[in-house]
Amino acid sequence: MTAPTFGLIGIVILFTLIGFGMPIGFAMGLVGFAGFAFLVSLDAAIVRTGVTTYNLATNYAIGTVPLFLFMAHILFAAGIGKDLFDFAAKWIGRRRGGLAMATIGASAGFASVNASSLAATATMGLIALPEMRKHNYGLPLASGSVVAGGTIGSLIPPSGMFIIYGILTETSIGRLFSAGIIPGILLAIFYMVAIGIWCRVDPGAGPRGPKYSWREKLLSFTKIGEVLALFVLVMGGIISGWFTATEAGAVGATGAILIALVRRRLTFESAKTAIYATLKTTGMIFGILFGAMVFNSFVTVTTIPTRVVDLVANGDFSPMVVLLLILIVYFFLGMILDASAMMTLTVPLFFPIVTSLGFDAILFGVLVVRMTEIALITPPVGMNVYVLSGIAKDIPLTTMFRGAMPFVAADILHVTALIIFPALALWLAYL
Amino acid sequence: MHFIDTTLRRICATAGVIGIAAILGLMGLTVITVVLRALHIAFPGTYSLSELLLIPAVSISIAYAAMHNDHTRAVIFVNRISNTRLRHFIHGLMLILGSLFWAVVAWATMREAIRRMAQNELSPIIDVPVAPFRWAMALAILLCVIVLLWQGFKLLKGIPVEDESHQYADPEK
Amino acid sequence: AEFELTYSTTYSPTHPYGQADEMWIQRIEEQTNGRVKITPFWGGALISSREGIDELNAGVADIAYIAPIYATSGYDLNRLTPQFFYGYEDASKVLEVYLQLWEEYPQYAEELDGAQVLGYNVGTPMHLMLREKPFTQLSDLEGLRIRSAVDYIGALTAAGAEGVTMPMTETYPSLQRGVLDGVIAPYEALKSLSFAEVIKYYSELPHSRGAYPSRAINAAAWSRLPEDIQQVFLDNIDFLTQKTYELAQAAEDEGRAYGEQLGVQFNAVAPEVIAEYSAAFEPAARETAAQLDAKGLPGTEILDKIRAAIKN
Ligand code: NA
Ligand code: NA
Repeated sequence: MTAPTFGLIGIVILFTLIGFGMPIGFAMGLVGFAGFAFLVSLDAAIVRTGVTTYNLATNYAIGTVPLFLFMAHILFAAGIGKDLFDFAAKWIGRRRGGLAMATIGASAGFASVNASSLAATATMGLIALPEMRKHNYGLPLASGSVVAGGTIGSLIPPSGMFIIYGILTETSIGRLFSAGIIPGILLAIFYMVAIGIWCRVDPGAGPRGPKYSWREKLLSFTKIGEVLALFVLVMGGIISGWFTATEAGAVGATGAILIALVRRRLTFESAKTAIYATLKTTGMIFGILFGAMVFNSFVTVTTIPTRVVDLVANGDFSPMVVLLLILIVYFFLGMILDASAMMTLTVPLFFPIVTSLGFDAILFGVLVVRMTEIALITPPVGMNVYVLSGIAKDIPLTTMFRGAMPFVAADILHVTALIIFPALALWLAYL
Repeated sequence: MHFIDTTLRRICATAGVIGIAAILGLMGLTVITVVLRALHIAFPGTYSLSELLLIPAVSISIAYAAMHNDHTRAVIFVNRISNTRLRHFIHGLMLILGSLFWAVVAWATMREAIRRMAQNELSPIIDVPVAPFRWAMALAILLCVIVLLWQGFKLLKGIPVEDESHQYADPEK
Repeated sequence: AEFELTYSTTYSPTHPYGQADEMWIQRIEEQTNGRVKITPFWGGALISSREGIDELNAGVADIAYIAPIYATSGYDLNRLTPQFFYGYEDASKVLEVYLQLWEEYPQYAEELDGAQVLGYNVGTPMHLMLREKPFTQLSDLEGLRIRSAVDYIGALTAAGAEGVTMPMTETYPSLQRGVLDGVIAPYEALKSLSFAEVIKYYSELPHSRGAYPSRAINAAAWSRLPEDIQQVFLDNIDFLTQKTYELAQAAEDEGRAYGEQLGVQFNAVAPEVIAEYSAAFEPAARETAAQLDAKGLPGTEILDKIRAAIKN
């Protein structure tokens, strides 16, 4: 049996185990380990498993996710997130799907202080999702807007994915950062339009809220003081170089505690609930990430990704067809691999092909980052959806993935727009 | 049976406190570093120390989540099984089977802890021995394995476990 | 092919090390008349840099890029002696001295648990990249926050600076926003890590990186190969080593040109300032050598040889 065949069998076994209700991280880890042991050797599989899990447990960049989670749990416990959405409800709640659009807007704002999609999803899952549910939003729309909103973060700097791409391909990180800004804003608009259309087709998905007077609307400004203060603290700190976006989680959590204490909105009991909830959500997320790391190694040695790359590279297609094929490959790889694995596995192979065909390295970077982010919300392996499912345990995974679909459609249109109008990304990059 | 339940819960509660201390420690360390930086006071050990603190924070959280049966699962098919006993049986089987992965992680971590201890591995700059942290990770994951096996065993016998994963009905229906 | 081998590296094919790998793979496949096929895995998809040798020896890949200097323990001579090259400015000289040490001390090879070395790397010297003003004298370092490898922290501290071991992925935004005042990195990083965009000054204060065995095949895979094929690999050690060095050197030139294009100001540092700065490395090197001695390894002996060679 060839390695790719074996890989496909492994993937079938993975889905079977997941179908029988094995926790997803366990299933990925088990199949990844067993498959690696079979394809390489038992000893290699043990060592590889030990190394990848230990490196994940000591990875500074991913390791700050618990602190972003803590910040979100504190904001939730102190009702500060609720205030933000009360404000949104007063101003745009009257519009169908208004709160889902506000979620996208808030995600874009959060993206500017945060480099990780997982942290963005967790934060909005704790803050926005309960509010949308309270306002009787349909669960697919509510959860879909949270997981999709989380993917905006990688386009708007600071962005961890752009840095990894920049290092792997030796392209300008500064240009990549600039190139992401307009597509990032455009993506938020695409998502909002998608929500608008969705609510027109299915008015029950995002029902209209009550009407508020101008007086009530203006008064609602007094409610967002805490959120604004926190945003200014974190954003200001990053811009003026006091701390990095990775450190922002710790500063944000501390800031949230201080603000909640000063405004007497946090009791000892609620703080305790928040920290224990943080511990649990962290365990849930890392439980999946541990498994995903081991599974990635297995997918690597099946050589499926490299064979697919060879197929595209040696196919003698026209440049545009090659680019489209590559994006399609990313779409399908994104179903089973997580974002960083997709990046390290395929970019070194695709990059020389794409640039030799005359495509711009920066444009390709924006497209790749976009594709790896779409992967976070497509089934069956979609990290953002898994993260949200750890926070909203009563919403089935299938409902969340279903809710993500209209946003994936918007993503595809967005990517198409970038290919037709590269200037959207390149104008700022080469300014 | 009750005795094992209570003991496991106590151990996990204690581990939980250590995990929380590690998360809060990480937060405090980062904030202190940021403040010292603003005051131009050098504190070169931050990254080394952060990496060490992350180990218990992450690994204990995994055991803690397992204790509360807090996993991301897809239950769309399993929930169609109307026979509760059979459903529990499958759930238990999946937990026991899945615990194999964590057993491998625990085993690999222990092997590495022993090897590195012999090499006297030190954390850069701060020169703190890393072995205790590797052992902490191994023990936390081992605790996770024990918890999973115990829960699986109970489910096989038809006793439900505290469950916070997607066992609820789809609210849309 | 008759012998299918996997090769894993943390670099990508656009990096000089990766370029050298691609040429080397092609050569090996040609010179063995296609009996050997090497499948590369790039970008660290299969092997990590910190535990690279452990993973290689466990058979995660047959051949791997390794960097014993990044290991956190073990491989003591390989891991610790490269820091004895402090103050060296010429990488080719470092390589020459280092390869002699490998001839002289079989302990280097023995440490690698049976892995056969297929190529050596010499790190081109790193220098000081700064945001605010150029470095001309030691007092210029006072109060600066500089991203640095662990080995240089002591010397930075001695000069009144703060050495920060921040991950490389964090460094660019930190330089951009001023969380850091500078970074110790080679010319090449001006382009490959985009540092030319976020620093203004490049001061040529050398930080030698020494040399190390950088590609190896594990014992199991090696013993499976017949002697004639083993010989092809052995005959190409020099090719891989030299190619890596040449391409790295070319990338250095390219990085410098890119920096000039972006308006980075380059300045040389006076020899006496370099000597004064380098002196700060001596105590740590002596201590490391003594620790190696205590383990029964020729630490001080090697240190003295390396220091004597720099004087010639
Ligand atoms: Na961002
Ligand atoms: Na996916």
